Amino acid sequence: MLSYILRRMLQIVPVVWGVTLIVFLLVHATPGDPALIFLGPDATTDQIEHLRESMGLDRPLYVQYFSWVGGLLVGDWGRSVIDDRDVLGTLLHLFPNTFELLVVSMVVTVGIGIPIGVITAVKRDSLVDQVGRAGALIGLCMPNFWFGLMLMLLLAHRYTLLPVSGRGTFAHLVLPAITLGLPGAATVMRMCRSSMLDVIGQDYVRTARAKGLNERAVIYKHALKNAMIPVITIIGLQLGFRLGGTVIVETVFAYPGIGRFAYQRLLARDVPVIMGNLLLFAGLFCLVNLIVDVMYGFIDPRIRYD
Amino acid sequence: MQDMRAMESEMSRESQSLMQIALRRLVRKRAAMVGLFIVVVVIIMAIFAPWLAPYPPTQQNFRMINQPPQAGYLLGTDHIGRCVLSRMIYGSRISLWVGIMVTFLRVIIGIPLGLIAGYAGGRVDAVIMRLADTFIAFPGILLAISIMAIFGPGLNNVMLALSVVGWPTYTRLVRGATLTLKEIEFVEAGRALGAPVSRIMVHYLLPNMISTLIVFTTLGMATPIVAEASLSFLGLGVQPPTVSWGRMLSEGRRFLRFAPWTTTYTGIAITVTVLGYNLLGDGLRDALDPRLKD
Repeated sequence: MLSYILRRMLQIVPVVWGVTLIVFLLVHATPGDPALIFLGPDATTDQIEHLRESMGLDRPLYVQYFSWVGGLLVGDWGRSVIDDRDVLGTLLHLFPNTFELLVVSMVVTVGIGIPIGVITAVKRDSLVDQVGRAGALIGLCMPNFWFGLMLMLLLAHRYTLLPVSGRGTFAHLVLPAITLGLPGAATVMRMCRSSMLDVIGQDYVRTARAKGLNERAVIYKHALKNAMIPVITIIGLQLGFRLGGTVIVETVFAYPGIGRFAYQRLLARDVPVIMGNLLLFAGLFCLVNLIVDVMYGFIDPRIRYD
Repeated sequence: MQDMRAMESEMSRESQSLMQIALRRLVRKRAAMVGLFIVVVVIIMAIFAPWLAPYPPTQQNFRMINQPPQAGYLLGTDHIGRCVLSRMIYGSRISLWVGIMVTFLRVIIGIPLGLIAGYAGGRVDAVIMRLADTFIAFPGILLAISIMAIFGPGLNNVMLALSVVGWPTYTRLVRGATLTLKEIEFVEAGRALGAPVSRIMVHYLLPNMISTLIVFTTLGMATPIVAEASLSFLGLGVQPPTVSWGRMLSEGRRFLRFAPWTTTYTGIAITVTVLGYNLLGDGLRDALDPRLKD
C-alpha cells in the first residue's frame, strides 16, 4: 500500500511539471509578454521596457523559466504587479475561506445526493423515483451561476431570509454553498442510484434477503456499503471540478476566497498572480485526485496494488 | 487491395443497417424526440432570427425601460429598453455557433491524438496522455478565463479557449476505444492485407467507434454553451453589440432585484437548450447500444 502511494505520488511529478510549463508558456510565449499584457496596448515603449527590466523579462526565456520554477520550490511565487504583495502569502491567506465554502458545499452535495439516490433506487419507477430523476436532470442542465442568481432573487431579495453577498456568518455561506453543491448533488444522486440498482441485483443481497433479514438491514447494511464505492470516486472528482466552480460562484456572491481573487486579478491582468492561481488550482486538483485514489484502496479491499 | 476493399465494403454495409436500426429505435423514444425538438427549435431560432424576432436586438425604446412582460414585449424589456425576447432569439445564434465550433475543434484535436496514442502505444502514448492529464489538471473554466484574460475578450478567443480546455476528454475516449479495437481480428486482417496506418485508423478504427463518438459529441455540444455563458457572464466573452445569452445574464444581473425577467428567462433558455442536447444524447446512447433489445 505504501509503495502504491509513493508510486502514485511520483506519477504526479510529470503532470505538475507540465502544469508549470503550460502556465509559463501561456504567459510568456504568447504574442505580447507579461509586461505588455499588464500595461495594455496604450503603454509607451519606455514604460514597457522599464517594467520588463524590473520583472526580469529581458533575460532569455529558459533562464526566466528556471528561475521561476526555482522560486516556486522555495516558496517564492513572485509578487503582485498591482499591490506588490507576496503571491503565495495572499493565496494562502484567502484559501481557508474557499476551503470553508468547499466543505459546506460538499455537505450539500453528499447530504442531498446520497439519500435521494438511495431512495430512488429502492423505490424504482415510483413517483419519487421519477421526480428525483427529473430533478437531477434539470439540476445538471442549469448553469450554476444562474441557479445562484435565482436563489439570490428568491431567498435574499424577495424574502430577505439570507444575506446577498459577503462573508461572516454561517448565513453568508448558505447561498454560495447550495449554488456550488447542488449540481454535484445531481451527479452523486445519479451515480448512487445506478450503483444501488446494480448492487441490489447481486447474489449476496438475495442471500441476505433469503436468510430472513428485514428489508432495512438488507438495504442499509449489505447493499449501501458496497454501492458507495463508485459514489466515493464521483464525490472526489466533484471536489476537483468544484475548484473551478468557485471562480464564478465566489464572484456572484462577492465571497472573499481565492476564486474571486483569481477573477479580479485576471481582469487586472496581474500576471504573477494569474500564474500563481493557475498553479495552486492545478496542484490542488492533482492532490485531490491522489487522495481519492488512495482512499479507494482503503475502501475497496478487492483492489490490489502490487 | 481487392480483398481489403471487399472486406471494408462488407463492414460499411453492416454499419449502415445498424444505423437504420438505431434510427428506428430513436424515433420511438419520447424523451429523445423532445430533445430533438428542442435542438431543432434552437437551430430554427438561430437561422431565422431576423424574421422571428419582433424587434432588432439592439433597438431601444426609451419609454420601455425595465418593463415586465406584456403585450408587445412578451418577455419584457431590459435596462435600456430592448426587447428581451428578440435578444434571446438573436442570442441563440452565438450559443449554437459556439456549441458547434468548439465541439468541432475539440474533435479535430482530440480524436487524431487519441487514435495515435492508442495505436502507437509506448512512448508516443505516454507523451500524449501525460499532456492530456496536464490539461485536465486545470479547472476548465479557470484556464479558459486565463486564456481570455491574456488574449483578450471576444468570440473567437472564447472558442479558442474552450477548445484548448476540452480536447483531452475526446483523446481519452478515443484512445480507450482504440486500445480495445486494435486487438480484434479485422484490424489485424487489414494490417495483414497491407493497409497503411492512416487507412487502418480512418477505415477500420473510426467507423467502429462512431456510435460512441456520436453520443459523446451530442452530449458534448451542451458544455460549450454553458461555458460561453459563464465567460460572457464574467464579461470576457462576446462584446457588444453582439448579443449572447451570457451577456444578457451579466447585464440583467445588475437589475435582478427590480427587473428579474431578463435573467430568469435567459437562464431558462440556456437550461432548456442544454436539456435538449442531453435528452437527445441519452436517447442516441440507448438507440446505438447493440446490447439493448428493442
